[in-house]
Amino acid sequence: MENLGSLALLIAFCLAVYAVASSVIGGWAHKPLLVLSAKRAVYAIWFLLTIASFLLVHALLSGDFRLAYVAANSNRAMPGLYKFAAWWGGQEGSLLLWSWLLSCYSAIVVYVNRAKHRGIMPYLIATLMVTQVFFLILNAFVASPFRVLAVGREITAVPDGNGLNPLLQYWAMAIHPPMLYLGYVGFVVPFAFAMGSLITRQQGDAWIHTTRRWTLVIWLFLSCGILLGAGWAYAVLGWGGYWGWDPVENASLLPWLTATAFLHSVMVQEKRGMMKVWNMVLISATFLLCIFGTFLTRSGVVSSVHAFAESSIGKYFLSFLAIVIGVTSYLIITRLDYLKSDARMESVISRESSFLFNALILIASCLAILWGTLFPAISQAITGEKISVDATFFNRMNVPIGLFLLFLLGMGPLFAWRRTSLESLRRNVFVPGIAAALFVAALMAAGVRHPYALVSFGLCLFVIWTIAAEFYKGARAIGARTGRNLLFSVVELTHRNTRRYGGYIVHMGVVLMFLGFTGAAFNKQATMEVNVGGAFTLDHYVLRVASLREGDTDNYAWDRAVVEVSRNGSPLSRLEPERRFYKASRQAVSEVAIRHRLDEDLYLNFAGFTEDGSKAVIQAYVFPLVSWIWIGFLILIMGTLVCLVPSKTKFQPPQTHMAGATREYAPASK
Amino acid sequence: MTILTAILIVTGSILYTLLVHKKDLLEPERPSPVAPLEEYKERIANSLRDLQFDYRVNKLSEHDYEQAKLGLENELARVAAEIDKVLGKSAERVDQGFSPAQVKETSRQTACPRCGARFSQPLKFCGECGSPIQRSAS
Amino acid sequence: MRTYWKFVALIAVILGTLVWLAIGGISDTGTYYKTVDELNRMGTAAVGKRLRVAGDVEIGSIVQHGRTAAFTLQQGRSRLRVVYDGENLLPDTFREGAQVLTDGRMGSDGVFHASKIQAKCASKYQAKPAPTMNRSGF
Repeated sequence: MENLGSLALLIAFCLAVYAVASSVIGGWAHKPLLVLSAKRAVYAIWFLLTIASFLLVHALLSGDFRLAYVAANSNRAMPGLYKFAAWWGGQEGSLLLWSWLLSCYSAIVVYVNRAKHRGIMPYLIATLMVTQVFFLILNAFVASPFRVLAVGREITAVPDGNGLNPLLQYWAMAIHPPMLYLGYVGFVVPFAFAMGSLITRQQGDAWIHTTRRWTLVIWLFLSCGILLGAGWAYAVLGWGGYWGWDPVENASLLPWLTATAFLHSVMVQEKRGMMKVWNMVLISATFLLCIFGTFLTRSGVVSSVHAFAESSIGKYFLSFLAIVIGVTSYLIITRLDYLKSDARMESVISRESSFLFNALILIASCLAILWGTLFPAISQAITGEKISVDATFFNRMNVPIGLFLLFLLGMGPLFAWRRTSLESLRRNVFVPGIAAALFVAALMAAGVRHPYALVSFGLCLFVIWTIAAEFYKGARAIGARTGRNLLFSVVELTHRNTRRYGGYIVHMGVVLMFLGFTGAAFNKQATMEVNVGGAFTLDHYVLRVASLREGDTDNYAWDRAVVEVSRNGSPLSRLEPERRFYKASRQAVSEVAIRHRLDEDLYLNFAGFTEDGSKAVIQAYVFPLVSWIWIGFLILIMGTLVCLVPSKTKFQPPQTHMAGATREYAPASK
Repeated sequence: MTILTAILIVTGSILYTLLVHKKDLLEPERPSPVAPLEEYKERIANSLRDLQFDYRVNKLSEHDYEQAKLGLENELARVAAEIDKVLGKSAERVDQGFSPAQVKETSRQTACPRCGARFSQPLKFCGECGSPIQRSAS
Repeated sequence: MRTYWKFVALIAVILGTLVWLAIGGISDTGTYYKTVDELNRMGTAAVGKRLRVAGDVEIGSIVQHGRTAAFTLQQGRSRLRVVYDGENLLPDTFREGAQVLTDGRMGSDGVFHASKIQAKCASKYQAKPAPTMNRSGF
């Protein structure tokens, strides 16, 4: 069976190379038959990769331990879900997943647009297939998932595999990598469209219209992937945090930053024909960072407790990155005339300007994070010394950036296109500004002194106020016209312009997340060794270890501390943090227990026993406002879904027909 | 058994890719020469609508609003005239596949300089936006 | 033209602030990354510097007192004695034979005083082992 898999990968590779050649030649020499053949190849590649993936998954589920990959990533005792998840648990399998997702996306894009975009279709296919070729080289030749364990000329099999790392045997971890991959792989599509339009110097912004929904959905996948990772780090890993600025975490954030900038700047291109070069650079950067992120997690360039074993696969990625950077730069530079702006910036206080600064600051954050992540490699190349930076550096850079972004979130809606009048701006800023200032003063009176936190809380209030005001003002204007109530007007308002108001909902979600982030300035922690029956305090909680329990399953052995939580004398709840020892991998893992509340989370980690085994070591944390991160994210998802809904069809201005006059409009070609 | 499947899959994929016939091709696209202009016109119309809304919710001063509105309306008229010119030039190429509606447009006699709407009868005031139309326009 | 210069000024201020923060950040938190071998060769020059050392925990070398621990880090033939201050709990993956990254300073007594330990399970080729770090991250 594995031979069939390897064969499928090989043939897919050949077809992908063919597709690149035939689409480029077909486009350049105007031979539609060649382009059609390339389209067929895209479908055939999808078919072959689906077979290969199916074979690998089958091997994992049935426990075919003759395959090296299955032996390394699966074991008999693992539940079925995780056997399936072992598909992306290791290097070769995850690369195959990448290829398969790419083939799915390519096939969908080619099919959906089979009658449209004729001009750019050849180059669209070519870009997709060049990427496909790269990954198929890895799949078929460098890191084959179908490699068998062999001794001499005999194929051997191990009786049982190593199993998936127990830390990955958690439902969120089963979803997090595929979600991230859906994002990473997906950005190749808008990139391909951009390249197609750039190569052919296609007039108009058709590629932006077509890819808008796609890019939004991919961005949503990536956002979910990142947040799932953070949620998993928080709820499972037990080090009491959701973001460690680890290189692999950073790698997923980098393309998200440029993609967010891109989503906003395309609006400037659509509305006013400006920022065209920015958009090309941003979408290319997003794609490159996705590849780079895939590379960073595998190559060992930077040491991370996340990284795969250091392998030589890095140099393939670097070559691919270099080629793509070279070609894209060449294309952009030689077509600067095509990317010339249709208009110019008229005022610093305009919507265009706020989008410009938004893109600038997001790119700055991206560069800062990239700089910090790669600093060991950079410093080694330049000075010979490997110097690394830690979370402090990243926070130092990104907290001010985050605050500036908050500021833009609040001011942006108050700006109009082209130019905003100062008096109207003053009028709109005055009330929320005073409210924010009063709020900050109240917080200071309550004892809060942390400067960044105060600024953040003030800005959060400011932004929430301005966004709510936007909805209110707009709804009232519509209510005045239609005579309906406020709720209906809000819905109608949103429906008439789902992009803008869906966007505001997303921003509201982001502000709530910032609120959650700010709470971290007030985190509290205590680590204690406690006997059964003993208790300790953290902040206003009293934590008493009521009992210790233990048990055994096929997969792991466990110890549990039953902790009773009370506050001011009254009992609140019972938390039972657990410590597991996984038998196959002989690894100890903590299952934390969390009491989630809107104002703060109480978080307990059972870290084991003292050496003499007499006392339990309990780590307790208080995380204020952290739940707002997850709540804010749910609102972000809802807002994104609203953005995807088509706006109410352009309502015609009221038509006055004069007697005897008839009129017909030719609809704009869609 | 596996070998048979393998052969089938491989040859199937390769043949599917290579055996393309002219009859499999889709209808060639007939790009309308006014498509980018129409797109631009729609963009201006959207900007006008946004402008009016922003004014209604007090983001703009009266002066800024009037100035921007005038600029956009002039641009709209200019683009509409440009579309006319392009379509007028192609009137004799009506058999080249332009939609009947597009062809019909060129036979309209009166155009409003402000919003671009066309009418078969000569009119004094535009049926769309209400502004006065010069008698001799065509 | 005046608008152009306003933009330039604002952008310069923003970028300037960020560069200033970056330089400060690196000089404050930059930690030299050394292997055990390199560290031993540095001799007295290593004393006092903020360092990050990578190596494997020597089998049988771990001595734990409550939260603090003393162990030996080895890499090839080189060895380094390490004392960990126990500020945070030791990570779950920290045990004999594990690959370890430890941050701290070299003491004048030839013992490395570690303030942070990250451990990775080295027993097999691990796909995405999770960060079992013993510090509060964000």
